[in-house]
Amino acid sequence: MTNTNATTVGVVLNSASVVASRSPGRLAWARFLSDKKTVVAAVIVLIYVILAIVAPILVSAGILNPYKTNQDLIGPDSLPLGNFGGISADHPFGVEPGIGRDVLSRVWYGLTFSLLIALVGSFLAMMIGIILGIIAGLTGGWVDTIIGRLIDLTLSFPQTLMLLALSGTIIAILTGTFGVPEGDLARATYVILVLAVFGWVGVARVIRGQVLSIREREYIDASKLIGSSAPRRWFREVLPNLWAPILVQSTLMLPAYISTEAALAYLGVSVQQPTPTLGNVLQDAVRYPVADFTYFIIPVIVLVVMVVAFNLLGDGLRDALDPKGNR
Amino acid sequence: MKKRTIARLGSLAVAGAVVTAALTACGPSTGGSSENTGGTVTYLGVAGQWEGTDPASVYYGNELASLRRLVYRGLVAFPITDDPNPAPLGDLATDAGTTEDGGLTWTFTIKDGVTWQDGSPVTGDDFIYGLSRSYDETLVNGTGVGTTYLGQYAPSVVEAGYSGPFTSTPEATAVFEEHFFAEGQTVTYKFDVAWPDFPYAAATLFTTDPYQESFDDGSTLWEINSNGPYILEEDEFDPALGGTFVRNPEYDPSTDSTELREALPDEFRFEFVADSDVLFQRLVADNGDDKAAFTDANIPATFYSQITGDVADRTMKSTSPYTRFLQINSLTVTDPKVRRALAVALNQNGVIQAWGGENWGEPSTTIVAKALPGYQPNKGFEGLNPDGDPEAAAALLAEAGQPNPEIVFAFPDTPTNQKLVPVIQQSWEAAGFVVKLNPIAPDATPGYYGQMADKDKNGNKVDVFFAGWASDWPSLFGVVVPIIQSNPAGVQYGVGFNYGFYSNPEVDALIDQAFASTDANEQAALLAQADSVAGADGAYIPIANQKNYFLYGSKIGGFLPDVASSYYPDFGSIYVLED
Repeated sequence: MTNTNATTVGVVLNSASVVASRSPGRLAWARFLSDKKTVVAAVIVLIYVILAIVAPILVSAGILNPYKTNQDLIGPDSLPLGNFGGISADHPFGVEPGIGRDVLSRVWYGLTFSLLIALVGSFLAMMIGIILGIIAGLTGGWVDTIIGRLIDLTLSFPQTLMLLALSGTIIAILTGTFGVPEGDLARATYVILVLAVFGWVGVARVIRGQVLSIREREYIDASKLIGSSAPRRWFREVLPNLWAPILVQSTLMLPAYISTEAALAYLGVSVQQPTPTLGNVLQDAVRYPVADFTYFIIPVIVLVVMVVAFNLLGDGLRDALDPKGNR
Repeated sequence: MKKRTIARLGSLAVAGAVVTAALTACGPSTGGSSENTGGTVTYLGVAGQWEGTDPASVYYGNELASLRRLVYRGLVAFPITDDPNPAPLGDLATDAGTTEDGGLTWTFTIKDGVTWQDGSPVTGDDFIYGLSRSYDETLVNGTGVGTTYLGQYAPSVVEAGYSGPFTSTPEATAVFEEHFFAEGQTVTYKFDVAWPDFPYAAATLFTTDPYQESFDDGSTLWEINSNGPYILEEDEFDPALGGTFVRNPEYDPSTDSTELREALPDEFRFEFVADSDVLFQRLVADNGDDKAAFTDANIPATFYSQITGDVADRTMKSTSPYTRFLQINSLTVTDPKVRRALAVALNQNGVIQAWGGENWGEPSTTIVAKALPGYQPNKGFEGLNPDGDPEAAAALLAEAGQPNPEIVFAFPDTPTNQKLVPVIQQSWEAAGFVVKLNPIAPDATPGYYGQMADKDKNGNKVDVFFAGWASDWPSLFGVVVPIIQSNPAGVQYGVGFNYGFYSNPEVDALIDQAFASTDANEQAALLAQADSVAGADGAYIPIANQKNYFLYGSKIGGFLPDVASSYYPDFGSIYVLED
């Protein structure tokens, strides 16, 4: 009995000591690992990122060839020869109707461009959002009011309409005044700018809210009393406490931007053929839902899986980092 | 006007069978009779493609074809027939015109009893007034077709500065009136250069159509003042939505001929939809009023898999007057061997597959469409491999001493072209060319052809560019002359469509001989020879002769793409099938 009790007590003590030694980061990590669907999503995201990184290498090595046309694989009705969109050992995802470009190469290489645009766009949006959010939250007063109005103004802007209407003019300004090379680079820059200019609003709001709660904490007062400078307080005392919402916001923003880029490419604003992006591959594929279902469905699946995986990862991270919220 | 509702058929199968039976029973020609009179035919089009309904501004083949049959009768018109080489018949004129000096002077007599929709008679003066409007650049609305040909055959009027009825000086007007005048019901056209096939042009184009001066109020772009069997029900035609054409109470069928228009339906409804996918989804579905609907757009490749069974029974294939080719800027690509190497290397079949495959078109060796009377393959491009021959092209480049010439290739930046261009680019690169792309934005100013027509291509270096052509009237004169005759000195553009600025004295001499000849066969032979000489010199790069592949509703009868309608479906013969 005694022995047993002692053992039990020992075990309890033991486990208590383990828990006591866990840092908040480790706790979050443990919560993350225990959430199977988030782990799966993270693995998928990781695979996508690796694929996107290796694609340019494979293209320059000639293993992927997103540009070469293969007229010999196209029938007289302009559709690919053979079943399922011309799937073969050489072209595991089939070939593009009309001109026979390899679909795997185009989707894979397109993934790189789409991810790159979404990544740069969301990075810029986060930067603007974080900086303005911290400033608004900490200074308050008229600065907060101005930033608040700026947020309202940006939100009330009819985005999609203006994006389409302004694309020609702004791309012309980019190439003319700022010397961005004409063509895909100018169009990609435009899309990135657009994503950044309209994307920071949500981030700024979340960050401002977070900052408002942090600035009332004692250690901030203490820092103030010691006589630390304002920028030091913003970036050394407040910012480290914002990493969790920033991480969550970016993983949620990225999939939204991948979809937005695809939509813009579909509307002809983003990077154009022959350079592939998921959006412009999709733009061509949606014309063939009946005539060539394989060609239609492959880019759709690739896009949907990626967006869902990023979203699940974002949700999972939020749960792991901030267990009080949304449960 | 009375509007008859269309009784609905029970099933698609029955509907398909009815059309097949009707067509086989009546042959491809007109199947109409008084029993088929009445009903509403719906014409489906894509919104925003029309550039105007004022006769001075209409230029596209399908628009000319439909308006000629419904509202705008001309001097002459082509009959409804499957004959590939019909002669024009008198329409508002009593006959197809007379000339006694080989085409320099043409006279026509206007019929008695022909009227405008307000009941007043169509007079000789209306014809001269209509012609004068074809000189007004504002009315012509950018197409420039009337001015172009009139400038070619009556240059002294253009040189005198004549610019239509509103803005011309009295001196210029005097020159115009010396050339073109009416005495009572007789209208006379005096050209500086013989125009042997003038009635062919007058039958197709609206340049010489009459216009009622009292109707001309300065805002006529979308108005229609009919002298034909139908009138526009609305005040104006709507390029975004369409319009409804109902019977014209002032129209007297005894002044017209059923060879030109049978005018069987009570109503033609022009309905424009957002894009061609919607249009073909409706025609494939064949529901309700769409059973009596048709279109002049070609079935897109993305719909081929749905053209089976009953739907396939409602299709018709025909040739097309359109050819596609690439024009070469002969000011920058001066070596004929390099020019020919571009043509020899091109994978025509590949381009055609990208465009829509065998239903879309077939390889060609010339700018002349097979449908034109007098068509001959271009002997200068004899033995051209439609799959492209990079080795032979490389050999030509080696002979020219330029194994890797740089070629700047301009094209309108549309999704279709973005798919085609890689095929062309790669077949040239296989022969050793270094290809640089110069996509022209669809909303560029000036527009694509405006830029190509400019001698320095709007400041860009352009060596090769996309082009397409359909003769404006069924004759080799309408294609060989505008494209490969050298431009008069000093003219940037406007006369001719020789945007490659190709110039070859041998070609010009053959064209002059053709103008001098009075025999149609000899004219065609001389023009074909001029084309062959230009081909051997690498004046252009032939790609394809297009084809038509039409779909129509199950209650449409008399569906006939013919010469009169530039191989679009003829509005003169179409009718609604009885149940």
